[in-house]
Amino acid sequence: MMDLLVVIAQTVLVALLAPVWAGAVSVVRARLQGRRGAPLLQRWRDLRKLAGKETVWSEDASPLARVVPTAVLGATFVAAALVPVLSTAPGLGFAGDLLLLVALLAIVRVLLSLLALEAGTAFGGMAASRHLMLAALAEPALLLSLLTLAIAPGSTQLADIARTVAAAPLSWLSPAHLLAATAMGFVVLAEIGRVPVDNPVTHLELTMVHEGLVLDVSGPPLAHLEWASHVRTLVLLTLLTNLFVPWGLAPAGAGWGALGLALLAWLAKLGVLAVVIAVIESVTARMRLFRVPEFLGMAFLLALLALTTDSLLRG
Amino acid sequence: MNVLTGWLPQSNTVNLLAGAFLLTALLIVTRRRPLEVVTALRVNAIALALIALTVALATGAWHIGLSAGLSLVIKAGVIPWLLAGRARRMTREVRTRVSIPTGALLCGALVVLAFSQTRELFGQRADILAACLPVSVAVTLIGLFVMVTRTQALMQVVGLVLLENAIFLAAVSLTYGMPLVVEAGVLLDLLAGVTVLGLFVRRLEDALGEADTERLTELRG
Repeated sequence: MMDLLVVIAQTVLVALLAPVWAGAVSVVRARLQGRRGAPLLQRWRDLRKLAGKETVWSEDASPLARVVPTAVLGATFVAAALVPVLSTAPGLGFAGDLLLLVALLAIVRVLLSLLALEAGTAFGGMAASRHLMLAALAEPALLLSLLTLAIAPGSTQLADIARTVAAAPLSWLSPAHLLAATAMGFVVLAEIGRVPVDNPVTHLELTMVHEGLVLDVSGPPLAHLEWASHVRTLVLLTLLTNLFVPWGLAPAGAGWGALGLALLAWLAKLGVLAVVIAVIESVTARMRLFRVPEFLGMAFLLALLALTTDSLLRG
Repeated sequence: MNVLTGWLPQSNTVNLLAGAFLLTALLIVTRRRPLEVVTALRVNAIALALIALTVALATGAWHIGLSAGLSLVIKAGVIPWLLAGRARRMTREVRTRVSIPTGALLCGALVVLAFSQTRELFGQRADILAACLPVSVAVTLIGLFVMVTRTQALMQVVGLVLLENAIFLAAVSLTYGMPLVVEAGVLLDLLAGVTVLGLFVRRLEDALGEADTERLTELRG
């Protein structure tokens, strides 16, 4: 019962904190550039503003367009519930494992691409094709790096993986761990749609990916999509930290003390990631679109090497 | 000190560092800017020196510690500094005989080959350096690959230094370090070699505009 409560609580926490994390990155980036920047809660204010606006649908849009924003938000929340955030309690383990998580993220991608095509504008189509190209390249690398971790516990349950890595002595780690973590880091960098791959602040039609997808959506549905994209970012980052650096995670059935510590550890890891990503965004230029396949190909190669060297070293 | 030496063999500092060693070698193959390649080489040498230092602390062999310090100064300090000076002047990206993605795939195949064949040859080991030997064989092959496929003279020097780093790692992981005289001799050789090659690259650049070895194939009477 307690475990179930923890899972519900951590999912709500991810949903509430996701826009704040995005705000934190822009605050750090603004400070690096010598500006004061928007307040930490700016993304929440944006969402509230959007929620109060009127919705306009393209007259070519089918009823599907009206369902997609809510479905995207729902699928993202389910994905968030699958990830071990504070505790390694199985939670939704009965429903699925890391394959379900990857599949949910894929469903979100497909729905978003369909939505982009709905309005019948050229920008939406361009953005959808780019979005799916990135998906096709990023997904295998994501799956392979997660499967590298699944070898040792012999289970694809995310909670089992986090528990095994956290409980193992440091000697359990092999070079494969670092390779897989790097591959996953590359994928996450590409998936969260920030500077090396996409630019979240641009509205230049030739470069945008995420902005192009949601160009023809307005009002509360846009708020749903934006919120979902914040939550998706936080889910991926939590996956990265809690599977590869799971120390601090509370075991199943832990008391309030352990959960509090886990919360502090999680927030600290997210803080570090916010700074790292803000620095990457400030010092690197956006990649040309045709260099992205190379970047993600590198991630795939590293994940593949991690998987093979891990199985060869373990024998 | 005892706490440290007790902790080190159990922890896999060495394994993570070996991972970093392999990762930076792969970065050298895939990065396009000369300066990034040199930085990756510097990190590679730092990882190598830290592995040697860990081994020295775990075994208490002072000569490994000394050669770790020497390689930190020479391989992570002087040589990258010399190479970075030249790399900063290179205006073009790294040029290769096979494209960068193909090269990355081939290097991936080399790594898998190295891991499987090392296991065939030396069997499964359980000591703290178990992961280092296959990594060192893999990086030796990657270093050779860099030397063969890069056309710019500077990048071929990078391949040579990478190759030497890997051979040092192989020596450490097979025998827990060669005698100090050998290590010092090899380091001195490498330093002299890189300095001479650096001068050579500079003369090539003066003569040809860019030190591209592809342009050295014609004889001029």
